[in-house]
Amino acid sequence: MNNSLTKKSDWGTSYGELVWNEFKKSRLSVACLIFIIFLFIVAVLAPFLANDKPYFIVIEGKTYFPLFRGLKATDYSVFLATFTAIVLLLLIRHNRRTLDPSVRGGVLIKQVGAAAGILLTGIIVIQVLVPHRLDAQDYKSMIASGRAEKAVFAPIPYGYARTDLQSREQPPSPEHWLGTDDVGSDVLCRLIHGSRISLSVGFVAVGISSIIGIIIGAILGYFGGRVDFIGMRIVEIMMAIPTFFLIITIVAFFPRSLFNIMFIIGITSWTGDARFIRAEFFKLRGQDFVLAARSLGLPLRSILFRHMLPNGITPVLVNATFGIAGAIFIEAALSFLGFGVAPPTPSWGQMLSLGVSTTGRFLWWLTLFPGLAIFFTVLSYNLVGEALRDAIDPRLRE
Amino acid sequence: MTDLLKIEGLNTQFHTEAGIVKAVQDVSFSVKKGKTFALVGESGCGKSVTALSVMRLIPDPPGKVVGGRIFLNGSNLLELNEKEMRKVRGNRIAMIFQEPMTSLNPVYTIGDQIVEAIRLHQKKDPESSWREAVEVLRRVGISDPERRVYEYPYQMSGGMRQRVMIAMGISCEPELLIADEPTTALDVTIQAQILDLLDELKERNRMSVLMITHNLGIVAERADDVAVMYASRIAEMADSQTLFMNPLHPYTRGLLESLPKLGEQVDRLAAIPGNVPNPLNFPSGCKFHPRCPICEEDPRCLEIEPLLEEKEPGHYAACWKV
Amino acid sequence: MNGKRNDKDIILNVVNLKTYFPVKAGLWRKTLGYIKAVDDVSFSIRQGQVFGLVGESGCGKSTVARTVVRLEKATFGKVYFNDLDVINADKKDIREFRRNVSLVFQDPYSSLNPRMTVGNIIGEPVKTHKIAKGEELYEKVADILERVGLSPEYINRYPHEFSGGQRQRISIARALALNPELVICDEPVSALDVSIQAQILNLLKDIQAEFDLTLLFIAHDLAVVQFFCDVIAVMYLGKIVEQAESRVLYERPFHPYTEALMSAIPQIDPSLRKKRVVPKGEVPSIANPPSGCPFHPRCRYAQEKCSEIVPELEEKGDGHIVACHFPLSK
Repeated sequence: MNNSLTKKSDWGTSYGELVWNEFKKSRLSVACLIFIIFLFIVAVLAPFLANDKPYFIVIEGKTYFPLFRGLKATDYSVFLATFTAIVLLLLIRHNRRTLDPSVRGGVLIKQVGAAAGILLTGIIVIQVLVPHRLDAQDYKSMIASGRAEKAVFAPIPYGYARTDLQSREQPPSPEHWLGTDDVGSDVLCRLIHGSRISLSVGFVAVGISSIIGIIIGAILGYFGGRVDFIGMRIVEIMMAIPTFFLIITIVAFFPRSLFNIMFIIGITSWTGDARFIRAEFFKLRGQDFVLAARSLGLPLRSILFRHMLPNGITPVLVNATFGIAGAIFIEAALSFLGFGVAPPTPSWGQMLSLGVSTTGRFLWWLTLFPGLAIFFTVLSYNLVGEALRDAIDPRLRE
Repeated sequence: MTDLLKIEGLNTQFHTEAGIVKAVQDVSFSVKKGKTFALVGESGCGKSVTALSVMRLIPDPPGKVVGGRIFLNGSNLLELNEKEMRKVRGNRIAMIFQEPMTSLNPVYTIGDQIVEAIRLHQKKDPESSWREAVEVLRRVGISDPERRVYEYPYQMSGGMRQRVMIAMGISCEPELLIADEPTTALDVTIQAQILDLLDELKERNRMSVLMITHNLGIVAERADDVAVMYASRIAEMADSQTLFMNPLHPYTRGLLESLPKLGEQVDRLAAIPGNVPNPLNFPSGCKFHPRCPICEEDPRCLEIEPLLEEKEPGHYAACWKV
Repeated sequence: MNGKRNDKDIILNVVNLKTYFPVKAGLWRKTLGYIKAVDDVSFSIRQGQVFGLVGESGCGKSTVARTVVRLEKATFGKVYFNDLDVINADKKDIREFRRNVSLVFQDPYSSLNPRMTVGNIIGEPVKTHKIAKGEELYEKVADILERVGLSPEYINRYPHEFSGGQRQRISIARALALNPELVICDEPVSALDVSIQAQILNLLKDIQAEFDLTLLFIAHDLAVVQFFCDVIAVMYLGKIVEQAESRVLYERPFHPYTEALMSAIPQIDPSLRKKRVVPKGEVPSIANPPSGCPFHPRCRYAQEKCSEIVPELEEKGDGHIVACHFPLSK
């Protein structure tokens, strides 16, 4: 279809634009959103912000780039994913400016599909091509001993896995802005790298739980009757189990890997979403436009996902922001209790647990700074979620 | 005949994010003792806001009565404080609403709710209030009221609930009953019953009724005086017979012609073109001019808003062309 | 009324249709009884005819429409569309059937998907049924919009930007998009303002004439139905109690309920007012209908027989059918 069948002035305001306009009105929530975006940038750029390897180093007239050489496959994957996401966002913006609202949906689906494809192949290629390099060189001592002529380090020139037993358990100082932990790693560095763990736990766990919840809720809500009756009993049984203890039990059986934790949080916290979607679908099923869609002979796929889901997904979106906060919290709590990711992988909760040292000293900087990070992240997600709910509400009241 | 309720130059506005909505503009009329006055118009024309202004129930903010006077038996309601106004509400003016399904509290019995209304305004002991509740229910035509007082709203049909609402409304024998679309949610046969009941109660209690409705048939059959509202103003006002026999305002005429009438065979209805204007963006001049068949681009209609004038004795219209 | 299935003209034939909803309760959802929303309804609509189904809320008129298009499951009976047995049709035939039968709903606010543009709402069925796509689809949607009195510029707007009357025009446009043979209108004007109601009724009338459409028109307002329809069937508690040509029904109602219904409508013109015969009492609950004639507890002419025997529909000449033991005669 031609791109400009109608004049721009004839394009209506879409639902998304309405919600965004409403959301923008709250300064606090916009600030929180900016904070979350800032966290994202920090998480993505973590290896550039905090690294014990220099950007470049000149040794005997030759220039080396140890930091770039030392990037892992995970880092490249993160960069690729971020890049794809940014391109996608720009495309959506571009669509909104140049495409008729009527054709945006179809175009977007194609674009998202293409992006997902590129991302997936990209990650596979990266995993195959990027070798796992072990670079144990101490570049800082090379500068100190004069072996290297010139080097530029990252702003926080420490590695998150680097131990330095000389300077363990030190309070904040000009050298270590936020102090060091029990093995002498820089706290700020670990905090920056830990943001990756916290954010990805939040997103992946909520992604898994939302998908499970949406599918189960949609089936229960659309078909109703006996399917719903049995399904709801299962959901109720799931809800009756204290999730946190279930997670602790499961974690005890599986290796302590980040993915396992995300997965376990994901498959145990979908009941809320399922109930939301079920309730929405119950309500929508009787709405005239759904009946109209059925009476026009549209396929079930279109009815469920084109007509019903977009109208019923808002509570899940709002719930997702709370869910992300919750997942970060659960991960922190698990790590605090020692069930989380294994060191040296940095995690906020795990850092928190080091607050009381083995010698019995209370290391306040190890409690305060990761605690603040968790607090502000969780708070921001919650406030954004609440603002989102309020932004959606005025139209519900209509 | 004396006026029970006299409204002069009422102006009510709502402050919304999109701008000021002038929901009622310069509305004046009076309801005579023992008579039914009908305020008729389409949705959003300001008829319900007028009624709520009389009750001083306009949600503030965003709404506010910004001008005018409302006299009930000579005393200006807009000058009363909230405590005095509470004595007026329910006691001297009662109001019944459109949705009988939602205007009763679902968790209390019918009896509890009527007794509460009675005891609020009359100092009576519980036992005699309860007896009176039964009596009031009997008066509004609910059979077996001794048993019905113990029922919950969900156990009753729409028509029954509207009778209960009326029972609550008249329990303190108010001088004025405001009925806001009292039968819109009901079936025609039930509608006729409820309107008969209202007429009968009006006669017996010598009560005045301010009826808000969009149904011209009801107005023609039940009202003594009528005001037709369009876009926040009164377009035409007269006694009911005059208004329906000899409508002056093109909007009134258009409304009457656009209704399909039972027993009349026509091929097409004489529809009024266009849409009801958005109160945030009223047309200039006469608000009806974009839809008016007789305006013919008259500069007066396009630029100056016509005021309500007495065109014939007792017959008012706001139109340059009559 | 049965056995007319071979009549070439008849486009929709409903035979002894029953739609019952089970009443369930308790932990194991035991079926306690049935609500007979539609109880043995038969009628047929000819090509090009406008058939009105009128009755008060809860009389089952909307359920009839929904059962006919298989949005509800019929408990018993047959629905024939041309030669297709709708109730037992397979998936492929139903698709074809849905192409030829479309619906217009009462509530202009809930019947349009708020997340879709007008173009998508009207265009989607056209695309699904592979009638047109691309530029041709756009042309078609623009054309339909124009026919229902909306500017094609609105194609990229969302439903919340329209007034009730305009939304109902969009609903009508969607119903027309597939060039259906039969359009079922379920209270298409009852949610609209008086001045807008007339516009929509005129529009429907014009379109009906232009496309030679067959219409099943469902409403509670007898005046509207009488203006719009050729033949009217009056429903009460899940049954058709009287059916006749619109003019005949008004002038000579046989059923006391029809008489009561007409007299209850408030009339502006005193000369058109009928002697008011308001039925006493309330409409009985459809979950617990009275024995015998469903109208007998409210009927002023009821006799003993009425409470015992259910009256059958009987032809009184000229297609005027009534179910009453003691039909009115003037």
